[in-house]
Amino acid sequence: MTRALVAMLAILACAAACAQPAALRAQCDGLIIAVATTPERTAQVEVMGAGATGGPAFTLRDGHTGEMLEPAQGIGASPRSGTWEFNDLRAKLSRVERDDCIEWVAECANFGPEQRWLTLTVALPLPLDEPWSGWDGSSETAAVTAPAYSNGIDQVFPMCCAWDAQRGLALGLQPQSMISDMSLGSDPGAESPLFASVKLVIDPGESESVGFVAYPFEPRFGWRDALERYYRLYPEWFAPREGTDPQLWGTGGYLRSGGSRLCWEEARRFRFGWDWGYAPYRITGDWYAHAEYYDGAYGDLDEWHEQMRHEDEVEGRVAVALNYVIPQFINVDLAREHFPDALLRDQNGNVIAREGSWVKRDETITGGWYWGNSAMEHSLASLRELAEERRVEGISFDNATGGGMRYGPGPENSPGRAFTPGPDGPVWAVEGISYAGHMDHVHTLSNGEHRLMVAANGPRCLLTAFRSDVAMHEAAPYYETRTLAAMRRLLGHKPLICWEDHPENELDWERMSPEELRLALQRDYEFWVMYGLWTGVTPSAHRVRGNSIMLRHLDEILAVQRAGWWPVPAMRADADLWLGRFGEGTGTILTLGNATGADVAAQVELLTDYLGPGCWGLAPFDGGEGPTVTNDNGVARMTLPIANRMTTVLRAPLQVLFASTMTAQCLAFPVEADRPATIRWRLSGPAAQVTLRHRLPEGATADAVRWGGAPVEFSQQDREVTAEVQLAPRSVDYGADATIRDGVPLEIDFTPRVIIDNREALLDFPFLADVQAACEIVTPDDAPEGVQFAAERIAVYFEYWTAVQIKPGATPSTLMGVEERAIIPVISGPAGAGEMPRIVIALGEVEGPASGRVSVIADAAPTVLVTGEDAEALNAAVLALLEVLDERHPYAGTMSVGGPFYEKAGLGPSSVFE
Amino acid sequence: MTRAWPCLIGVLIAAQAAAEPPPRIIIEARPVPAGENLIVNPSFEDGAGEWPDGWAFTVNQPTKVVRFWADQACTGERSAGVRSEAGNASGYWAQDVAVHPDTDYLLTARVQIEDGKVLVRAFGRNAAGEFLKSFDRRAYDRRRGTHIMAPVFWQPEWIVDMVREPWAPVNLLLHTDPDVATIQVQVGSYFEPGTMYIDDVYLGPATLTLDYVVEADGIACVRIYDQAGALLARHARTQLPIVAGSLEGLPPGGRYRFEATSLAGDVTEVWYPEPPEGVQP
Repeated sequence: MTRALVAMLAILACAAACAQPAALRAQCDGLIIAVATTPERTAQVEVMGAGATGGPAFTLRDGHTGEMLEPAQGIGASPRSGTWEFNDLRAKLSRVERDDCIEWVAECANFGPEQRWLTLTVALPLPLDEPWSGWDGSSETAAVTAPAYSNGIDQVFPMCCAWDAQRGLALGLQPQSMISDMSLGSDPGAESPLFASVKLVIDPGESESVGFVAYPFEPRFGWRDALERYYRLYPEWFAPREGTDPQLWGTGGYLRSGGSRLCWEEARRFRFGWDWGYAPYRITGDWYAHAEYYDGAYGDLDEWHEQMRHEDEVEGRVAVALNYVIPQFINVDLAREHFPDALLRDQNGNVIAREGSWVKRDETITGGWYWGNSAMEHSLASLRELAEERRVEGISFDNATGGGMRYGPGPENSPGRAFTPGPDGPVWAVEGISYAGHMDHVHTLSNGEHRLMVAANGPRCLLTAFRSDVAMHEAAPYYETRTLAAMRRLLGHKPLICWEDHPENELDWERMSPEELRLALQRDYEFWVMYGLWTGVTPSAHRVRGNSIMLRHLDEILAVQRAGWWPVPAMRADADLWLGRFGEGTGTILTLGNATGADVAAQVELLTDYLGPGCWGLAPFDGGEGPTVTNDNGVARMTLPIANRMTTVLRAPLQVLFASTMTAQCLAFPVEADRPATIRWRLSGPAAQVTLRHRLPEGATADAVRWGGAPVEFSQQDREVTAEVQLAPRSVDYGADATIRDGVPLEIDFTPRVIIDNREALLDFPFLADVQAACEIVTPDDAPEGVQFAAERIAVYFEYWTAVQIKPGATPSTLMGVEERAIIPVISGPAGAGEMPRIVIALGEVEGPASGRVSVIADAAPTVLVTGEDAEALNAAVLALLEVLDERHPYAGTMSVGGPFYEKAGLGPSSVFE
Repeated sequence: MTRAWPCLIGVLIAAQAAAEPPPRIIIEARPVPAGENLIVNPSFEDGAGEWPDGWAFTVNQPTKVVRFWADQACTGERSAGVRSEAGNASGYWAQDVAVHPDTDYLLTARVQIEDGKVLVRAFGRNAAGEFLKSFDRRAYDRRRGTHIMAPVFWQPEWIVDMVREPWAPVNLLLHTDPDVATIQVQVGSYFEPGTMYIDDVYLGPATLTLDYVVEADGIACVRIYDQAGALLARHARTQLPIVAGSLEGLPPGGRYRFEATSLAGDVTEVWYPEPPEGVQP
C-alpha cells in the first residue's frame, strides 16, 4: 500500500470520525483535531495528511489520591465545545477560531464543598512514522522509545512536539498562562503520546481555565521549526512590547551618572540601551519611598525624589533609565508593622524565610510575597507612582527566575497555585506568579511618553521571560550555558545581556603562568563574541569597557541583537559550525562561527524560503566583496573560508523574486557611507523577468538603479528599493571596470541619511587646543529643545573626553570632579562667522536627499555646520559627527578589574585589554 | 559522639607573609583500607540476573537517572554505572551494611567520571532500621567531561575539575555515632548530568598515610608530633630547599602537628586535620 493511499485512508477515516455527531472539531492549515464528546473523549488527529486515533483528549487526575477521574457523562456538545461532568466537577473544552493553529481553552469548575487538586492533561495521538523524535520544551530525544518529558516550569518552554522525517505536531500552553507547574512531553506507550499537563487548585464554587495550543510543522530543523512557529503565533510575547522606549536596544549596565550629563557620552561610547538603576529605594518593599516609611536617611524626601527624577531625566536622553525592584524580599519592619501577610510562613504559621542584609546593607530583609494580599496593593501602587510621579521609563526586576516554590498564606491563595501530590500537599505557588503579575502591571503603565518596559535578571520560565522586554544573565556565556540557552528560547527576539565574567572561578589559575592567563582571557573574550553572534547574546557595558576585542565586534553584536534571534538557522554546513539567523527578509543577518579548532573552507547551504521567496544575495557585514552564492530552487550554496574562533557575519540585503535559479555576488555594500555611494552586485541566471528587492542602509535614499549599466525604473518603500529587470545568463561587457566580469551588473546609487562633507577638514578642526576648549557652539536664539540637546551633546563629547584623559575608567559622576575637563561654551545668536572657530547647530532644509549634514566652512574663523531637517535627523547628524571625531579622540574605557587573578595576568583597574 | 572530619583527603598549605619566606608545609592525607571489607560484591562482579548481587538502586527521577551494569572496570570485568540527564536528579547504588557504633571506618570507592558529580554517602540507620538524619556523612568528587570553552578556547588542563585521574578513589572517613547500627552505603550521581562508573567499594577499618613536603630556603629542622606530643618523625638540618616524607599506619582519628624551622630561624606550624580545641591554627 502506498504512502498516498495510507494517507487518503487516514483522511477518510478522520473525515468519517469528524462527521460523527457530538464531536468537538477544530481545524487549521495542516491539522484537524476531533474530540468525541462522549465519556471516552477520544481524540482523532490528522497532521499534514496523516491521521491517528488515540485515547482521551483530556484527563483529570485527583491530586490527593493520584486516581484518574472518569466522567459520569458528557452533558453538552457542539462543534465548538464539549462539557463533561465528573461528579462534583465540570470540565469544558472549547476551541477558539484561528487559521494558523488550534487553540483550546480547558475550564474546570468545582461544585463540591472541598478544595480540589487536579492534574489536567491534554493528550494527542501522533500519526508519525517510527522512530519519531521528541522535544519536551527543554531537551530533545532523537528516537522516543520511553517516556520523555519535562517537569516544572524552570528553564522549560511551554511547548512540546514530536516529529518524523515528514511532519511534526506541537502541543503547548498559550503564552499568557499563569501556572506554577506543568509537565510536557511524550509517552510512546500511551494511546495519545503527546501530552501537556498542568496542576490546578480550585476552591469550592470556583473555576480555573487553561489555554492550550496545537499546530503542525514541517520539521526541517526538528523542534526548532516548532519553536519558530510558536513565536509567529504569538509575536507580541517575543519582542519588546509596543510603545516601550526604543532606546532599549543596546548594551545594559550601570551608568552611575549622579545626574551628570557626562553619562550621555559614556552611553554612546559603550552603546548603552538601559541603566539597571540598582536599588534606589529607601527600604525594600516600598519601591517609591513614602514619607510614612522613611527615616530621613536621604535628607528631605521631596528633594530626594526630585534628584532621582532629575537623574532619570538626564540618563533618559540617551538610554532607558530603569528603577530597580526585587519583589521576593521585604523589609522585616515594613512587613511586621504594615504587611504581615507578605511574610512567607509554614503550615504552622512560622516565618520560614531567613533574614539578612542582601540588597542594601543598612536594612534587614526577608522573603516576601506580593500577590493577592495587602503588599500587592502597595507594591503595584508604588510602581504606578514611579511611572506617573518619577516618570521612569521602566522597572528592573532582580532575581526574576520565577520557578522557586513559595509556601504560606499568600502563595496558598494565589492564582496559578499548584500542589505537591499526596494526601497532605502542600499547596504552593511559584515566585513567578507574583513577578508576572507585577510585570503585567508595569506594561499597563505610562510615564506620559512611553509604556513602561520590564527588564529582568535571569527570567527562566514562561511567567517572567515572556513578560520581560530585556533580560540579563548575571554571568558569562560559558557559565550555566544551558540556562542561558533556555532563556534565549523563552525570550525569543528580545535583548539578552550577559552581565558578569568570573574566569577566576573556572580556571585553575594558580597553576597557570601569566602568559597562559592572558591567553585564556583573550580566548574568553573571543568566546563572548562568538557566542554572542551565534545566539544574539550581548555583553554588558561593563564587559565592553576596556576590552578592545569586544569593542571591535560590538557593531556586529548589536546588529544581530536588533535584528532578533530565530531558532531555525536555515543553514547547513559540512563543518561543525555555530550557525545563527537573525531578522527577517532583506533585514536578515546570518552568522557562521567556527569553533572546530581549525580553519575551514565550509560548504554552506542556505534554505532560502526561511528568508522569503525567490533567490538571494549575501553581503559581508562590513560591506566588502561577498561570496558567490548559487541559488537553486530554494537552496543557496556558497563556500566560506572561516578562520578558527572567528565568525563570518553576512547580510541578506538582495532578494530576487520570480527567479528559482541565480548566481549572485556582492561587490560593494557600503553600509557605513557618509557620502553618496553605490551598492554593486553581479547577477547571473536563466533569462527571466524578475523583481529585485534591495535593502538600503538605515535612513538612506536611493538615487538611481542601473541594470547592465542602464538606468531602470525603481521605487523605494522604507529601506527597500524595488526594480523589475530581465535576468540574463551570460557575461556582460561592463567597460573598463575589471572587477565585474561575469553576470549582469546591478548598481544602486544612494545618499546616506547624514552626509559628512570633507572628513579631513573636520578632523583638523580646532575643537581643542592643549586640551582646552578652542571653539564655541552656536545655536539660534530660542532654539528648540532638540537643537539645545544637539549642542550640549557636542560640548559633553569634549568635556567627557578631556576628563577621562585625567581619570580613565571613572564613572560619569566621578568625572564631574575632574576640574581640568574642557567645556566648550554653548551660546545663542546669529550663525554668521565670529572671531572664534564655531560649531553652528541648526534645524533646516538639507540640500539633496540627505536629512542631515555636517560641513566644514573655511572662513576667517572656520565653522562646522551641523544641520538636520528635524530633531531626529539633527541627532543623527551629531552622532555621525561624533563618530568621525572618535578617530582623533579614542577612548576604550578601562577593565576595572582587580584581585590576585588579574594581577597575575598583569591587569588592573586601569588596564585596556588589546 | 560526633567527630569532625573537615579534610578527609586534601592538601594543607601553610605559609606566613614575611620578608624572608617561612617554611611552607604541604600535607596530603591518604586513607588506606586496613581490614575486612564489609561490602558484599564490592567489585560488582557477581550476579546471575539483570543486576549485580547485593546492590539496590535509589533514584529520585527514574526517567532522568538510570543505572547500568557496565563492562568496564577498575578491577575485574564489571562496574556499576549511572547515567543522569538532569541537573535536578540523583541516583545511587545502595547497600545496607551492619556496623559497630563509635568506631572509625573508611568508605571508599573507585570512580571513573565521564561527566558529572559523584556522591559517596554513609547514611546511618538505628537498630529499628530507621534512617538517622543526624548521621549523614558525605564525600563528593566531580569531573567536567566537557566544557564549552574546551578545547578550542581553553586548554582542558586550565579548567577546574576538567582533568581527573581515571578510577581515582573517593574517600570518606567516618566515625559512627552510638545509635548507628547500620549504614546504607550510597554511591552515585548527585544532581549533575553525566555518566560515571563505580568499582571496588570498601567499607571497613582504615589507617591514614600522611605524605608531606616542606619547602624553604634551607631547612634547619622538621618535626612531626601526635596530639599527645610524642615525636613521630624528625628531619635534620639540610641546605636543600625541599624535605619530603610519609607517615604510614596512623589511626585516622588522630591529630598531628608539623613543625618546620628554616635556616633563618622562621618557624611554621601546621596541624592535621586541624588543631585541637583551644589551640590557635
